[in-house]
Amino acid sequence: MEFIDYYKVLGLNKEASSEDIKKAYRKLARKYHPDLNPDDKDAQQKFQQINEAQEVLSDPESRKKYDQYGKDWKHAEQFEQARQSQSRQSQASGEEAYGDWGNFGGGDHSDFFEAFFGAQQSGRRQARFRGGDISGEMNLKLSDTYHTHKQTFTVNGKNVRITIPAGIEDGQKIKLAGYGQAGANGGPAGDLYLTIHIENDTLFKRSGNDLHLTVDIDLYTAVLGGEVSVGTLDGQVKLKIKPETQNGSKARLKGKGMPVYKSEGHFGDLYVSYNVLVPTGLTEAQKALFKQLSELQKS
Amino acid sequence: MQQDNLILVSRYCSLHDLDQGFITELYRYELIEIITIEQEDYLDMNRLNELERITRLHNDLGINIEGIEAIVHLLDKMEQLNRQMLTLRQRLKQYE
Repeated sequence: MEFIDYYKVLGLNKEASSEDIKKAYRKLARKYHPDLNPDDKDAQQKFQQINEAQEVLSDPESRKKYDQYGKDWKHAEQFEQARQSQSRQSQASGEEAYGDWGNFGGGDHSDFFEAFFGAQQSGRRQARFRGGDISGEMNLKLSDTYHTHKQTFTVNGKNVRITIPAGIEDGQKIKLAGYGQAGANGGPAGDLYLTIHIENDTLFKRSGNDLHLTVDIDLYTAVLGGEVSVGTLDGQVKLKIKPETQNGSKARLKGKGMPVYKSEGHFGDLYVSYNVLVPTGLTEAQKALFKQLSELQKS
Repeated sequence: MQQDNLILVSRYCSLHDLDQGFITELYRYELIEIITIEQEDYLDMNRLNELERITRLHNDLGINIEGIEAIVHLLDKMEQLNRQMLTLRQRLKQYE
């Protein structure tokens, strides 16, 4: 566990007045407040740090303890015990803590803070505050997202079973109300935002609700037409190849793409691109026939 | 609209220790919606998140309503751009 220089966090020196602390805190809070930096984990961490710094430095008792021990914070507990046995005079804090910005990460302190101040810090909070929002990630396979399914995971030691609607996209977020940090003084819990990461375990390329697939066809089928079997996420389908199909040409299979998110019965399309394979290792007889074709073409 | 999804503005304000005037101001700036049924003002509970976010910006950061209006507009724009970026990234993957 590392020592945290709360003055440095707020960009101040040890002589800073309470007004300086207040100003520095407000300035940094405006920069890193989670509502102004959605999905930015670094900003959230920074906000937690400045909140913690403010909590310590704005409270004269905590500040005194912090200033006295600084890097020797590990001895702070002994100091506390000695101080309490020396004098039990209770003194009300002359200065009110300005702004209780506990909505985000207020109850979420660094290990350093917990070790130094323990749970004593919460005494001055009275108002109810909503717990902070937290974010998490979930990895899914593209083939799994074709159908609506249930997924179980653990958050804050609780097993949560959620429904993942079919057609969810990579990077999309799911909000789970009430699964964030616990609220303070009976306030409601925050929300959990799950970012979905989708790994493509198929041969398809996805573009929104549409899928793209390249299918190899032999030259003879391309020239004369025929049939090819194509695997879709919905099973195999037989696709008719028109005679004289060109390399790179596309066919659209309506409704064979991804399901449209939260829109039951609606699907994107599957675009099949043909890759015409030129035959190799021709026999003499085949070569002769190709030559014959070539001459016919010239004449 | 079903009334189960609504909460009286006065009740919401008393639960969250808010001045009703603040809610009215937000409505005036079209930052939130107020639903009036039989002369009673309600908030849609499904949209309380937005109101909570605005309240935090106001209380935590001391930002006035004009400032909040600008922030909400910019955050919406940012979300739009993020979504656009996501779609473009997906398209780009097709060429990788």
